Amino acid sequence: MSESRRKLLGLTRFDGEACERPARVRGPNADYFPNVALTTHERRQSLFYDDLLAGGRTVLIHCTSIAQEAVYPVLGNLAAAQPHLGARLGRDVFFYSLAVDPADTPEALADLARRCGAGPGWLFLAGEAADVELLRGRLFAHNGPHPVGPHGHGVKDCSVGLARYGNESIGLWGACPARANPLWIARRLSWVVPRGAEDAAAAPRRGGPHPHTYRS
Amino acid sequence: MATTRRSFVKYGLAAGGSGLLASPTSAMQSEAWRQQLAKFLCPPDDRARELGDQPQSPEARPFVTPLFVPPIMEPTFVWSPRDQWRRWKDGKWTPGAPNPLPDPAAHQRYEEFHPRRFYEIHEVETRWRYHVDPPYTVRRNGQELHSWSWCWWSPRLRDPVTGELLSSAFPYPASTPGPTYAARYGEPVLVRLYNSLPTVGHAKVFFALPSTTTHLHNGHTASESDGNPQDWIDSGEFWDHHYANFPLGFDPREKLTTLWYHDHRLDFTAANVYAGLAGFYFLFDDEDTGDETTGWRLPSFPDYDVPLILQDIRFGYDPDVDPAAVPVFDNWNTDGMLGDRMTVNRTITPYYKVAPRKYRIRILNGGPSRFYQIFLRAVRDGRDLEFPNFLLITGDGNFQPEPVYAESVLLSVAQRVDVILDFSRYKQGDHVYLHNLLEQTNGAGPSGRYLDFGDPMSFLMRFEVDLPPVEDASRVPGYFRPLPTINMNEVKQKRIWNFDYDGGLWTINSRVMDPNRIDAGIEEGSAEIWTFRNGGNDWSHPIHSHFSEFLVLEVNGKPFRRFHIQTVDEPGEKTMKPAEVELEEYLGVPPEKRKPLAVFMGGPRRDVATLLPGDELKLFMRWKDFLGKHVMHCHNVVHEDHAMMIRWDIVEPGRGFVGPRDASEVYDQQDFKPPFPDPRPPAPPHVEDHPSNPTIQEG
Repeated sequence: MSESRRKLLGLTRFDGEACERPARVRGPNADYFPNVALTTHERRQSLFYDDLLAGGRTVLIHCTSIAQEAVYPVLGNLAAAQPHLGARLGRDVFFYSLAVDPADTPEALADLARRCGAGPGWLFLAGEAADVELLRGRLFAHNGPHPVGPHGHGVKDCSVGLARYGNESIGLWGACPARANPLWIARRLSWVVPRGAEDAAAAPRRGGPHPHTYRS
Repeated sequence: MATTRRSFVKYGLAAGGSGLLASPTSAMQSEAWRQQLAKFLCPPDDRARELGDQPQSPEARPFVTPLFVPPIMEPTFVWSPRDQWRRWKDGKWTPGAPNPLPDPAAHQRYEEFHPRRFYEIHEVETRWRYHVDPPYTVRRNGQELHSWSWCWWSPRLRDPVTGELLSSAFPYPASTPGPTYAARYGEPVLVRLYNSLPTVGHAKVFFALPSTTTHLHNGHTASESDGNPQDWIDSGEFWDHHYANFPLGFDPREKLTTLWYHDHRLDFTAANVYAGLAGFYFLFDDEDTGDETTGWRLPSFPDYDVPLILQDIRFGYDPDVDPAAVPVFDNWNTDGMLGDRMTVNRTITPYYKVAPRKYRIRILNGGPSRFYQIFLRAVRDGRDLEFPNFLLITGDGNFQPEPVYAESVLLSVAQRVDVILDFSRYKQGDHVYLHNLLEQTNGAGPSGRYLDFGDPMSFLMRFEVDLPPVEDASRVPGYFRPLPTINMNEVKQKRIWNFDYDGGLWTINSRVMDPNRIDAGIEEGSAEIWTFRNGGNDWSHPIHSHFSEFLVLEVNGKPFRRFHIQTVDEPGEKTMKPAEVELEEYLGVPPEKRKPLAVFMGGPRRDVATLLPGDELKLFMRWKDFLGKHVMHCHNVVHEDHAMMIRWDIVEPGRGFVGPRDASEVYDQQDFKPPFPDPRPPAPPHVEDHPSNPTIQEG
């Protein structure tokens, strides 16, 4: 992220230390993700790629809206996944709920976050409608036309059931249902966290199978 | 020529648009530019990037790369019948025996099917030659560099051409597709599969997860050896797969022949298979011996029995990142992904030199999302000589009752056919091309249009009649083995599975994959009738259920009889509309009166049910011999990873259920390992009660 670009986007101040931050390593999808400016529910301006994805973060991203949440609830499920992440949530693991309804203001999202019991690493993101559309199209591409489905009141696209999770510093991305078992959501995030290289060099360990218990 | 390519203007903008995004120009701030850009950047409410809209792979000349034929697995240890018991009971380890020994308690019916052969195979990351031209093959400092891929390596491999044992020096002969197993019915084997891939974050193939589980597709395999999506191993671990190699219920009619193994990791199947984790597993027996002088006398393995795995791959080339082109994976499109380079055994549009004699060619659609309709074209001196028919002997890895002639074969993802190609009709220098004429522009399914024979996208490979004539002792018998019977008295349950789409996810009965939820409790030793229904009119699903084959009872309400072959009417007007699916009573008429089918879409017995838009198939399936968890899923592996999969379990007789049920209701033990363990010492026990609902604490 160049300094000129930051000025351009009115982001000369970011967390009070943006200018001193060293240049981050660009992940493999740096050219694919639009580096759009988003506002968190805590009223902070953030650039999607430079501030939210880079820096070795393991993230889970999904689309949400307050109207949609009433008919297709997923936030309670993510709330239930928080305890399984322990102290990592907010340190190097983050949840991003991208608000796709322009009616959802940062104040409304802050209220939503409070009602969900969102921890320090769970951010609700709002942005310019065109930016959000662009970002959503990048994250959740379908070859249309897919019908909106029985739950899709008021929301044009139907990506709300799907969450992307990954770690952009190593370029590894997966997808899971946003309403998957909360423990399994936490497990999935643990899969994409970079590990030490020595794991593979050690003597092979037996991974399975384990003694089975199919017969009662 | 059919429309497979969009305008080149579009390529340029799509490819250049991403670069412009990163550059700090004030132009990108303008609303007009935003709208212009959005036109080419997969607007969510319109259509996503189709194949022609994506950056193209580097040029690759066709027919200059030789076909890669996978080496053959050799056991690293063979148990003799006499000492198999003692070796385990004394707990002694003999040099050469597996170390550590397999754990009999971890396998169902291990002693009953004590393994005779022990194989060792590793998943490794290495460079793989897709093509001989740059940038697929780049010379640096006198060394050839190829494309990073995930390959298979074993310490004991045999060369399929010379029959010699290969040097075990790594990385040669690590390969993708992996080595071919030549197993036999009645000889159980144990495969120790090592995940020797780099750990997460250290792999050159960054899009795939170096945590794997290898499924033997089609195998009648117990759950713990089946490669279940949730039975994965991480880098540095191994898993013992016990393949008992006996047909379901010891019924010889249930035998299989062409199987394949591939990765099945939960959420990452598409990425890992695309990275290279697939290979073949053949099962021979006293009839299908692999030797053309015995049994049915089909062409001998491995000289004249050649497997082909068809995969379409898109490559990217950035010399700043890697000197050679690398496969590019699309993580973001939930409909499926297509490649623009057709590979056969992971070589781009290769050639294969054949002798003028009969060959048994085993063709597999290795995905990830493309459907194929394959045709043959023979060329002499640059002119079309003829369009030979396929002589099919198997469909989906099991023998048809009788050989079938067909002008073309429809292969949905993971489907297989074994065909006999007779090159003795041709002179030296003649060429036989393998074509795919089914057009597909996005991952959701075929477009319904057809390519011309001249379209560059239609070429898969070329057989060159070039080797000197050799003796051909092979025969094609007029009859193979009967189909298993359908006995409605065995049926204990009927289930309907509806395949649909909701909330950005692919669903089965409105539900998505949950490894802890069991959607069907099937009684061991019973049969069931399953109905597969495609809930969409815009997409196709190849549906695969593990563990057993099925017999088709009905296709779109039409009864499917034992002598029916599914085809389409009117070969001139080929479209993929369900109304035109026809069941031809092919085998019911005497052989001399049979006309070649326009399209072979499968006989009565299969393991992949191709659901074209609006299709409904009713199937009869049997479950016997083992208990445990398995899955049923869409084999468009991108759909599978976007949760179009369910878990079903085989349970003891009398304990069956309809589902869904949580696994903890069915089994006593459930593992709970915290995914992010707290490194701090455990906290002292609480003296105060927790608040009743921790999520409503204020402040």
